[in-house]
Amino acid sequence: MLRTDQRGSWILGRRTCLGLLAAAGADGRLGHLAVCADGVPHITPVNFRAVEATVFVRLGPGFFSEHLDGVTTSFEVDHASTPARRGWSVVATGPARLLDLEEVARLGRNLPSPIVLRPGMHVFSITLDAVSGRAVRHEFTSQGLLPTSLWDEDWTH
Amino acid sequence: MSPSSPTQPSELARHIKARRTELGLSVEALSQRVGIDPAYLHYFEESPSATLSAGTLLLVAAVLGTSPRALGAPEPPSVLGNGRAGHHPELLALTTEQCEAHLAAGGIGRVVYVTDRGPVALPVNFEFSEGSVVISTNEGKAAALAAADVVAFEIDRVDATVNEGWSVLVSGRALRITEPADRGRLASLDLETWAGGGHHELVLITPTEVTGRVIVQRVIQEPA
Repeated sequence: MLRTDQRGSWILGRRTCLGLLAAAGADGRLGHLAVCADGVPHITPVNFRAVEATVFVRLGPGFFSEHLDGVTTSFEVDHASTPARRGWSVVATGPARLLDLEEVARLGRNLPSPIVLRPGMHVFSITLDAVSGRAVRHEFTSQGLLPTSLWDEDWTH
Repeated sequence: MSPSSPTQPSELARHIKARRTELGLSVEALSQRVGIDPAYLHYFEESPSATLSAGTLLLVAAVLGTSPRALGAPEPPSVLGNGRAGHHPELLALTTEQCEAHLAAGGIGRVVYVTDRGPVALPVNFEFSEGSVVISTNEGKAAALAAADVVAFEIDRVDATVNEGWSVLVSGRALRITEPADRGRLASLDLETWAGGGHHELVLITPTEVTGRVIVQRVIQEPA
């Protein structure tokens, strides 16, 4: 039941991942939103809210606001405790969609609060199709001199 | 006024223990799942003052199928967007030198590359060496990164309690490090190894563009 990957990191189940996203978003932690435009990858830090398998982000005018609607995105949240060398991450993918005003109004307290509020902000939903997560623990960090990716696993199930 | 005496476990500890017991999880099973020392979890559950880091608490709550708030954890001191009265957050650009200073600290970043099915963002440990970002990844990811015309890399730090922070974005070409001499030189960096074991490929991201932003709190003077 408790599975590890070939690197010794714990594999977090989908429900645990979604619970992490919900709590991390409510705590004001940053997520990272990535899109591809004309073959070029882009990433931005965002604060967010997560409800079940949907992530909501609010973005001001700019590149992401213009390129997000209708495209597949990758959404990532991580936490690492550097001295203790442990932490967790969740990586998800799914389509983003621009919400209309009625949908935004229904979000209520699930509406994300950006750090810097600007006029003309849009709210997007990201439907998380594939979700995966890892917890890394310190016992597995003793080997090797080379750096390793923190959680470097297939993001699909 | 705390409902528990100084020798009683904290409210959070009691709630975690109760929820863990309800689910039939041992201390060992829970600590395994969240990657902490079972001895510490034992201690935490009995201690009036021991703490869990915010990130660990999030994971504990998620594994227990609940939320930090439902376990009795206090609200975070402030939520992003609810700035202090009289303080107005603004975004300013960082200079290249300031971006490089943040990169030089190393730590954890996210690398993005494009696949047939869309972008993939992955957390990675990194170091900054001679103007390039050095990461390590597995064979498949290293190949995908090196095959991409351009990859993106991001680091940030935001303190939600004071609404301050910064982020740095790098775009550039990814190159696999295959020469033993290069591998040896880069291995001498003070790079942290997170998940040991297995074979790892070093990847060097040579920036073509580095940009950064900082959130600053502009204080508005209220009339006396």
